[in-house]
Amino acid sequence: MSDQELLEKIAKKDEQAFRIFVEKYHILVLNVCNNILNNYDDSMDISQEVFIKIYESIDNFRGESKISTWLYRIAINKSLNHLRSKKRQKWFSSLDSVFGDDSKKQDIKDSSLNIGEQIDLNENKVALQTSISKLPDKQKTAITLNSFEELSYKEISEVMEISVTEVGVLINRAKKNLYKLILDYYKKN
Amino acid sequence: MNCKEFKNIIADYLGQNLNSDHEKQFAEHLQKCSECSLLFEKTNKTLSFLDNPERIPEQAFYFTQLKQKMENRFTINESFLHTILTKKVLQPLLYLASIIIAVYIGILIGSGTPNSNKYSEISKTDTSYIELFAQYQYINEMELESIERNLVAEETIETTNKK
Repeated sequence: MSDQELLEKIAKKDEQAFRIFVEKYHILVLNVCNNILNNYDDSMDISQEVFIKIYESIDNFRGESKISTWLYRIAINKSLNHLRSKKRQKWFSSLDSVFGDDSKKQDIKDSSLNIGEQIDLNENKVALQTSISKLPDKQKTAITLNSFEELSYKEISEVMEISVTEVGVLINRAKKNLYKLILDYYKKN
Repeated sequence: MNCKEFKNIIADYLGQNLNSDHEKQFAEHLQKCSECSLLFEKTNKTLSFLDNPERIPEQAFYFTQLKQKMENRFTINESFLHTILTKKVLQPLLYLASIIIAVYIGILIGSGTPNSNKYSEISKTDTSYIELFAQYQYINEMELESIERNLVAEETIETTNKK
């Protein structure tokens, strides 16, 4: 069954077609989320949110771009939004601790700062994850898609809806910043 | 080149932004200093992970979990809708309706019976009752006159006829 046929059936709320679609694309979505979030549980959660959004808003897919491009876009947006909301929660949690309200303290998982996980994981991997997580959102997205997903500049430009030149600039900046951040990580540790 | 200068230009070296002189000095320091060499090695090794990322493999029960999540969400939405409908819409509407009814009943009781109210309204606007009164005024007169007076009047008429 082609992707187009699958989408048409999903639009009619065909569960079997949706199952085939999810089984075909879940590794892609899950890995994109994981590359940005660096946390398996969060990635599972957010990737499922991506498929729920697709199921609910399948009519919005105009078919102008490839399905994978559309999936990358939704997965990245959802993951970045999740990171932002986590940052906000962390901020409010720190406010609570300042004002001494320990009852409202939330256990905010942050893979880049989770010491327990850092010990278990390979140091190099942790250094890389920590450094990538400190990059600005656009640079993070561009370098993740380029290095981990092995997308071409043209494909990244379609996902991020920017020009190919801008993608090049973003990736160069991301690499420069990454070198500095990795060095800083090792200098501090 | 000292260690501080070396550390400052590692990023430029990796980004291939050094001129040939600096590159030469960099290489010389790298060979001499074990501490800087270790830092450079670590950084390089870390960067190599960019080209060989670890991938999460296929998840066996992914769709089942997803379906469960969708069903849970639907249930939550339903209960949420139910709460919204009952607590935010139906309950206030019910309160509002009972207040309106109570006020209406209060007004009715305060202004007397509905019939008297109706009459008072008619008396102000409608004049047809005057014509009705004019048509039946004699009936009223007869009621006012006593029966004896009528009989006396009839006897008087009879006696005058006999004469």
